[in-house]
Amino acid sequence: MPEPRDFTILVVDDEELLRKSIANDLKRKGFQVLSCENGTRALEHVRATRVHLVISDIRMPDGDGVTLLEQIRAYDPSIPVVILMTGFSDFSEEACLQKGARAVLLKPFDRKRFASAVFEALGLPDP
Amino acid sequence: MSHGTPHDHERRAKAHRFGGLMEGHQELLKRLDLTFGVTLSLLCASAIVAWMIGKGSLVTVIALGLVTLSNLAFSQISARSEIPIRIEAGRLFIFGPIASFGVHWVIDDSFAPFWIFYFIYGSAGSLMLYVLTNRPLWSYLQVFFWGSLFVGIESLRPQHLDILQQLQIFATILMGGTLFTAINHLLAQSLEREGRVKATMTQYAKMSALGEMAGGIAHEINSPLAAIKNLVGQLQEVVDDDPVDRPVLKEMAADAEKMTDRIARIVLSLRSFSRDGTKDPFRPVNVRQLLDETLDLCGERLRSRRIRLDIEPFPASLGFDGSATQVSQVLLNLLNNACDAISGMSDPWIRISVVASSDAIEIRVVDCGKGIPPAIREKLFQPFFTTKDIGKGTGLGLSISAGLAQGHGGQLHLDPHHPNTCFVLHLPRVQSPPGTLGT
Repeated sequence: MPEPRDFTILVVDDEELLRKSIANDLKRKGFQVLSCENGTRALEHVRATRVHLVISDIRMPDGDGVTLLEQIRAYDPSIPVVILMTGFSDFSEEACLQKGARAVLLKPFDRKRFASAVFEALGLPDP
Repeated sequence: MSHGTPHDHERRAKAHRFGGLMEGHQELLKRLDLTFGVTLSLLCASAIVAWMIGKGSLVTVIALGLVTLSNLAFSQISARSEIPIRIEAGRLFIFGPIASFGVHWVIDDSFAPFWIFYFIYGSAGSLMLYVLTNRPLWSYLQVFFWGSLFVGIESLRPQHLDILQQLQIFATILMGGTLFTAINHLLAQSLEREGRVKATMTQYAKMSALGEMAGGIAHEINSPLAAIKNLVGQLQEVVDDDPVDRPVLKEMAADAEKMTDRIARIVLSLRSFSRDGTKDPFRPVNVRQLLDETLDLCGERLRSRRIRLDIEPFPASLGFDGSATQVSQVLLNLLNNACDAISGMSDPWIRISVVASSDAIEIRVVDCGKGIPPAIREKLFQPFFTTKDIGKGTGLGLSISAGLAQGHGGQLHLDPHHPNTCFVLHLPRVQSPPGTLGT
């Protein structure tokens, strides 16, 4: 039975403290966590390390989360991507799901819902 | 930085609000001055004719000529320099009696269309009192006072005027004064109405600009809000840990506080920007703080479009006298326009520079666009002119921004010589004292 420690999650958000709090939250749940502030760095991580899940903000300084989603899917379609959005971007929740996002969470998101989305994306039982 | 006492600022603010009315009166004074000059010249010519046909004296010609030339000289001086409106009104007030009494005492009554002088004098008196007091009632009352005074002085002459002529003088003063008081009153009302319409349009354009940034602002608030929610949720778990990791707890609480401060700053910027600043008194404004508050509102919009923003270094204490809300609106409008214009370009950038001299500051907003085509340049500052798609721009932003800059005694213009698109906001650092032209 796989455990959270078997999985590496990449958190991508240009908001440093949000990135840090999500990373801490995931670490407390036992996951291995990587984090970065933009899409370019995220792709470098995905190519360099075995990443099992990407959690990405929809808006970033060097691009949007949907472009990153498409690039990750083009590189390795098996990596699930969870998109975090505010609901005011050029992309709708449906558009993100159509592009292949595993889940879309609206900020400020509920922690339980967030945890459910992460565990579900990794095929783990709901905590 | 200090630009005078709070009382000075109140006075300047009052002068700023009264500026429109002063401009209107300035226009009326110019017309009155012209009428006065033409009338004096005609009288001078008639005195020359009277002297030539033997019905007048050379003294009359010289006296009237001197009065006419002096008035012309004063008129030219005031047209070429910034003479305060009160002195302008006072000049007409002084030349009125000189001309009137000059004509009455020197010229034979048959050559003196004195009623014109009294008419103009009544008008000038009422206009001056209106400008000085801004009270129509005083302006109406003064015509009775001056009318009585003139008739009284006339009655002292050895061959004084009969009752009919005295009534005629009184009536002409009354007519001129009443007419001009009524014109003043209407002018003031019209300017007030115009001011109200302008204020409404300014607020409308501001709200429209705010609407364009709503998404960015929501993102700016929601991200720290998400962090706080996440941190608070974790805190509830961490306090139950055994043993409690106090440093971690403190760090999480500190992070939550930082995020709360950030949201508070955005909300504060939003509040400063969205309030109606049209009646704001001018106060010392720090340029750095003004830029920070403006960028709090539109920074995310620029970031989301991958626009690089560079601010050239300038002294942190740099400031000017004005309304932070209004100047922030101008800057936001320039940044929004630049953002719309260069979105989609490769490697887009916007650069802000602030240059100060002893009496003015210049804020330049330059974007990577290649300037504005000459055909569009002339229309840029016209109301309702927009190059944006329908529904994306009101066409009021630049015209209102230019008006706000003018309200500060400054100017907003496009630098046509810059290789990129460059708007320049020029603002005086200290506002002129009240009661002068251009306030």
